Amino acid sequence: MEKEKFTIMGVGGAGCRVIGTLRQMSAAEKIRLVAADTDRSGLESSGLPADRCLLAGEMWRGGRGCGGNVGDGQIAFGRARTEIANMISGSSMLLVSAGLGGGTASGGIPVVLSEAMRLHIPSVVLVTLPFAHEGNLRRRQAVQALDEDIHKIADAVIAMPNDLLFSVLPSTAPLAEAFRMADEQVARTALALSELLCAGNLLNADFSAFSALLKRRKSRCSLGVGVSRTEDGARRPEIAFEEMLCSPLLGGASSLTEADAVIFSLLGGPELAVGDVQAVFSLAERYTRPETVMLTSASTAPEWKGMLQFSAVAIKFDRQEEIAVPGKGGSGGRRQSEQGSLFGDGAVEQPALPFDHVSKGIMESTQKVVWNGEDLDIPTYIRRNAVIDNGKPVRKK
Amino acid sequence: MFKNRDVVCSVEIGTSKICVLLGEISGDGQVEVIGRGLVPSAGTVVKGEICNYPALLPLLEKAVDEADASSGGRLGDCRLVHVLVTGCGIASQQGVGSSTIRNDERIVTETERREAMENAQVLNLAGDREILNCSETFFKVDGRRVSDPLQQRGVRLETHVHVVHGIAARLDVFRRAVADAGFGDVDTEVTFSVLADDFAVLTDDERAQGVLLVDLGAGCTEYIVEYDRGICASGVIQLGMEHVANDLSVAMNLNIDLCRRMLADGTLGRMRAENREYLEFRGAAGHLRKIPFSSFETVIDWRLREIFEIIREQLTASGAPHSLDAGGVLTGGGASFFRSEELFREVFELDCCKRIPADVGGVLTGLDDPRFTSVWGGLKLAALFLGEYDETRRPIDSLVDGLNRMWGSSKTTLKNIKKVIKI
Repeated sequence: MEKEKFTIMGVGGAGCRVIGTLRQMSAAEKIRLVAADTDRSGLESSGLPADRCLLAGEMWRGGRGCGGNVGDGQIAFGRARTEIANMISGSSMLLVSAGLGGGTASGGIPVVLSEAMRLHIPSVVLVTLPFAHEGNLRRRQAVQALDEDIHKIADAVIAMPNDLLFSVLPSTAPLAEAFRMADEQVARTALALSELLCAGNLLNADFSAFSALLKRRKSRCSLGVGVSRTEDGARRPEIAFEEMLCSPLLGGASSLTEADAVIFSLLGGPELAVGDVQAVFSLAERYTRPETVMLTSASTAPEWKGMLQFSAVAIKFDRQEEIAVPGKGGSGGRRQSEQGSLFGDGAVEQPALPFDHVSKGIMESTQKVVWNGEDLDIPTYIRRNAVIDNGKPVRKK
Repeated sequence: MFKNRDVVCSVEIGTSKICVLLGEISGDGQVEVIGRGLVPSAGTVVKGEICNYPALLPLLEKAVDEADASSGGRLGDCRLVHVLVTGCGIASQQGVGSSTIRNDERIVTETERREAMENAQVLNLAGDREILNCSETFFKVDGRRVSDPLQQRGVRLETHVHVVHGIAARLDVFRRAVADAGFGDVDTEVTFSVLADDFAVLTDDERAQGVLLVDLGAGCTEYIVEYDRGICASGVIQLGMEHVANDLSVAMNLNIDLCRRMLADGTLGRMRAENREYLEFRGAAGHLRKIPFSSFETVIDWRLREIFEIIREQLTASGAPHSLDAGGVLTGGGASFFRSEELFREVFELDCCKRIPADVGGVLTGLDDPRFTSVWGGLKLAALFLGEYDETRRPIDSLVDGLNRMWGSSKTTLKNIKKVIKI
């Protein structure tokens, strides 16, 4: 996969800040950075040229943001589908970075993902969850958007609670500094992911393996990034590893030892030696259990000359359930009676009052057409969770 | 005394329209359209199948009367009516049959060919199914592949066929409708409609190179793959432009008829050409709604893409060849829609072109629309069937037919002689 075709899109205020941070990193020069927000000031913080920015719902919201309303975010992005498609078309992979809890990201990301899906672009979502002190509403909005929309459409999701930041910072640390660190960490992680999935000129982690790890199961991810330089001397692999362990978003070494799967990625300049790779991966192995699934990638790039970055994504699966894949029977699972064929000659069934009514329009009382367990008479856009703007005014929640 | 030319009829009872074509066979075997009847189905046909017989019959009779009137009352000369069907649980499979060449010269004759063909049709079908069409794809004489086995020397003949079958009870409804509409005494043939499409618009070169033909209709979408002059796969999915219109209606909260019109009359294509961002509609309460054009595109793309993707999956499952050098051909009412060709290309990764019945002969015009591909192909096939009937006709049959006509009863004697029709 070519690095030039890797696109990172920042959605909403937090996403744009991450893009702004990425823009200043020399290693991100070859990645296509784009930003989308409903708030003009958010886009300005990304520092991108106008052709890489999308002010969604400008005509309607006037660039003043969504005020935390998810419905407004959905509508604003729904109206800008063409622009979104133009921004991401041609990419071989899309990484969406955002902070959930507000209206823009929670409402807009599903639209971006559905466009990516339509264009057959694999998508990875990297989101931060709000702090506990931000209130129950924001937390609920974030979890709802994550569970009900994003997890179903995205190929892979990495969600990181912001609270992990405070758990490793002293209480005297300045707040602005904490946010700056968070943005930098997310930016570095996005960069590390792009390297992990795209570069891989030495050891390559397969995207399908990565996607399979995250796609079908609810998971909690935490990640750490450590950087060392040539000036650190012969111990630079160890220093990068230790810095990764101390990374605020990782949540301590226990995250690694308790993880069900870990993705390690090593990135260095042309001078990266075999000894460095061996040293850092043998250290990493010591912190993981034998049954942990490990994906590793190592690569070199000229712009990383004199530097070494080691990143780890620790994934812990939710034991309770496996997420139903959209379009394979919906969130409610597949009923036996829906088994049938394209000719609609499935077994006669006792009609039941549906709990979750989906309109089939004129197809309501016709012979059902079923394919792979899906009722094809239900409009495709509903089964694919696409948000459609039909021009009706949105009712405030 | 001048001999009246033979007249054949093609009937398509579709989800959007009922179309009847009357054709006259000229001396060189070509068929010329002499009459046409066209009536909207008005909801009596859903997903390609008749769902309201009492309401359908007057409509079909009206279409037949229109065709008769436009042909100047030639319906009475009709010798064969060809009904095109879809839906009805139609499925297909490849079959193979063999026969031993027993004559002294060890040369394949029509007898061996027919025997192998009959053996190929011995399929393990469910009790409620009947074989609708059976076409020879290729032959092998002692393991050597030939396109025509006649006069080849060998010991064993193998015939590879493509068999289309459907649910007998559902197919009978179509036969009964045509009989009740005034064709009770005329020979009737029933064919899966995409075979007629194939006959109407594909060229021999395309069939040899490999081609995928898709008929995107209102209620059903049919497909067929031809490779090396033989049918490799065919099938139907009961999804079509009605589903697209329904999706738009549900998503945009618009009247279904309006959505149908927008899809059929090219409104959306014009909007796209004009780069219009919004479509404005006035609701029942009088308020104005501005619906982004991208919303329409999204809903339509999702559905059309899904239809093509299901076909692709079915083709992959049936083991159809991947190298179709002649590309794709799109026909049927949905082919006129501006996004169809583009999405076809994207999903199948094949070059695609829209086809209309181009070689229509006769004084009637207005058939140069992809909606009429099936019914035109049906008429051409009917002429072919009639030719084959006449080849197998003995002098005694002609005499019996003549007597029957004289006595006012035209019970046909050939109806059961040749059940298997080769296309």
